Amino acid sequence: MESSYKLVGKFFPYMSTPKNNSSFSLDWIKQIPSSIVIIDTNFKIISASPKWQTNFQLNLSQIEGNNITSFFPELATQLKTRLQYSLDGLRDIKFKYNANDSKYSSKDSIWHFNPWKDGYGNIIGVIIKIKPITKNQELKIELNKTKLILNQKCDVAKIGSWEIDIIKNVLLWTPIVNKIHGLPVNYKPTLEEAINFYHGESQDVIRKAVNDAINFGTPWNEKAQLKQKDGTLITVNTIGRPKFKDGKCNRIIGTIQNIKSTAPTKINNLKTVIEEYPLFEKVPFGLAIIDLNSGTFLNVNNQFSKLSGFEKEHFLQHNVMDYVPTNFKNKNADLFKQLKEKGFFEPVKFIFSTKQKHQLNIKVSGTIVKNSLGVKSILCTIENITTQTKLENKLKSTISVVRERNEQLLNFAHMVSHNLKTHATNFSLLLNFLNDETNKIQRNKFMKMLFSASDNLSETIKGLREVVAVNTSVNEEKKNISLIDSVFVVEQNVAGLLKETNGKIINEIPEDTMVKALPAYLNSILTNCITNSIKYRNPDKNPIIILSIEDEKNYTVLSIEDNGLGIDLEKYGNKIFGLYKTFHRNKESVGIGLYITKNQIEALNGKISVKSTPNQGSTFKVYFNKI
Amino acid sequence: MTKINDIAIIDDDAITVFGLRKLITMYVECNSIQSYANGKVALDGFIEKINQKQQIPEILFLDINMPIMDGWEFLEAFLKLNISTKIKINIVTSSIDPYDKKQWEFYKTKTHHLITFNLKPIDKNIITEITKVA
Repeated sequence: MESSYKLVGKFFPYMSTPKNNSSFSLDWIKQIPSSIVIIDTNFKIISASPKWQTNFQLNLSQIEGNNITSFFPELATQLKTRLQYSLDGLRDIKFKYNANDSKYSSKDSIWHFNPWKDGYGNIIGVIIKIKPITKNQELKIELNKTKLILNQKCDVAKIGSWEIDIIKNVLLWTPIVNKIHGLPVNYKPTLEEAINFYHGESQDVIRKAVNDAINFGTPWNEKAQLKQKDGTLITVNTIGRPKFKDGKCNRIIGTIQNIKSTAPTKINNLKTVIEEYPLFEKVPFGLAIIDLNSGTFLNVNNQFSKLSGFEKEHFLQHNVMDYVPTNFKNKNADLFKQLKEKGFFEPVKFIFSTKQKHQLNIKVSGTIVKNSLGVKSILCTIENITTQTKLENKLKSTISVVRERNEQLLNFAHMVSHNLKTHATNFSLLLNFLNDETNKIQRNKFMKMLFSASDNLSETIKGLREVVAVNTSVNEEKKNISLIDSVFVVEQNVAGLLKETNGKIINEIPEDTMVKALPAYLNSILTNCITNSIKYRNPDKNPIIILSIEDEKNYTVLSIEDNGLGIDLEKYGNKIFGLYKTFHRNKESVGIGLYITKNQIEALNGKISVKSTPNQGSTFKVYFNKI
Repeated sequence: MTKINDIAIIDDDAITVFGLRKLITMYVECNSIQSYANGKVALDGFIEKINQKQQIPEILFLDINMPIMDGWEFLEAFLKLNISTKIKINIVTSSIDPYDKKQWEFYKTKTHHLITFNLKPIDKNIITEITKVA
């Protein structure tokens, strides 16, 4: 009995009873010349041929009963997947073994996985046969070409396996299958639902394949269109193998893989571009590829579409000229000239209106690129420089303010030096005369002049102090002041002057007009403007001054109109508010007054302007900032 | 010392005018010294003289900072007048603004008159130097 058992075991291993694996004889394996290892359903090593042991320098007696993956920890995941597929019944799974990955063998090889079955067709383990790689290249090509879903470079994550239990009418998916369908991992479909995921004709093909598998035992290997849950169409490779028990198909096992190689051509083109410029979608600014001849957009990156607010399709195959402002179009020829001569064009800036109607300042530069087929196109970078432009403008305005202040300062320095120097030279001149003069009457005359020079100097210094005061009290808080109250105060102050000249002030300011100002400045501004109007009256007319208010967006504008001499603005316009004239002179001269007025209103963030016709009168407008 | 007919002072500062007058009377021999309070008054006066076929002063002392019409405005208008004789125009200023010096260099090349640029104070040596007829 025992010998016959052995005999059977040696020559007909599949005939022995599966129930008793431990006593099952595998002596035959010691005699075969190839490199084989046998694994049970728990991935434990049952036996190995002497060649295999030599190959991997492992001794069977030491490794028997151990999990095979523990000897190849680096390959554990890949091995497990393949072993599992093999246990599911898939035949001849190939696996390229890289010697670098393991300490047990120095040679690359191909591992062939096949299910190990008992006499009844039950799978009780896996037989792994190791074949050396002889013609390395050929094999690699063969591996790549193989229809088997598991190839050397297979990305495990993309292949899902499934099983249909025909008897119980249950469909089982591994999580990857759910992923391929765009479904949550816990989703459990029925067979009918699963078939419904296929799109159009593919649905009929798969339905027929399943039926044929059940009825005729025909396996399938199909490429089919699958509609993911969100509607995205993908192409999958699905393989099904019917399994039989008692002559009847009781289940189908198979795999499904998302394959991209058969995606539509248009996507293919896009992909080529992206592959040619691997950073196309990764750079932090907009990129567009434009056909050199036609000027149509061939591709734009996501950043560009984000920047513009439009979908990519909004641009693709449209002419670039449809998107640039009209005033920019005449620069077109120049850009093409630059491209022709230099192969690129200097950055250009223009304003682009986004989908949300935001006006963006964008900067575009372009350079000619050739793709692998030698076709020329323009690669453009598009940058949003709105923030930059804003900052630039802010900086420019700051610079202009600083420049103005600087000018004021220089102006002031010259004025100070000029006015003080005038007095100093007058003093020295008069003292020299006095020193040389003996005549008493003459000496008295010089003394008188010295006193007058001293008065002038005091007057000058007083004026200078006023100018300085404007520039130092800028930081004081502005107050809400009733304009009409302030005008009344000034009217009181100039009452004498008005009476003397028979003048009249017509006040049209609404009673509730408020302006934001420093009280002292407001008083000074009003006094200066009103006294100016009286000073420069027309000698043939009684002075009339009309005060009124206009409302502008950011300013309350006080208008001071008179019927006086007027100013020839063509001649003096640039000087009227300037500090060109000395100010210690007679009352009738353009002095420091308007200069101070201008400084004061500017210190209040306002402005002043003048309109005038000689011999008819002047209108000064004082702009009080509302903020 | 060359005999000079008329000298004019165009300046708004009374003390300066007085000082210049005194210096000129002390060191320069001339028939008359006229003075004008600003460029406008001087220009009007000269135009009047031309109309009445009188002689324009041969030497001018010209201030720059004056009300109504300043020295440069006066010069601009004066150089346009039809005056065939060569007038010596002495700019007298206490200005240290480089702009004024540039203006002088500009007008100097634009005319057949002789223009000098002098900083205050003017003393005896300078007055004799700049009152030589052009």
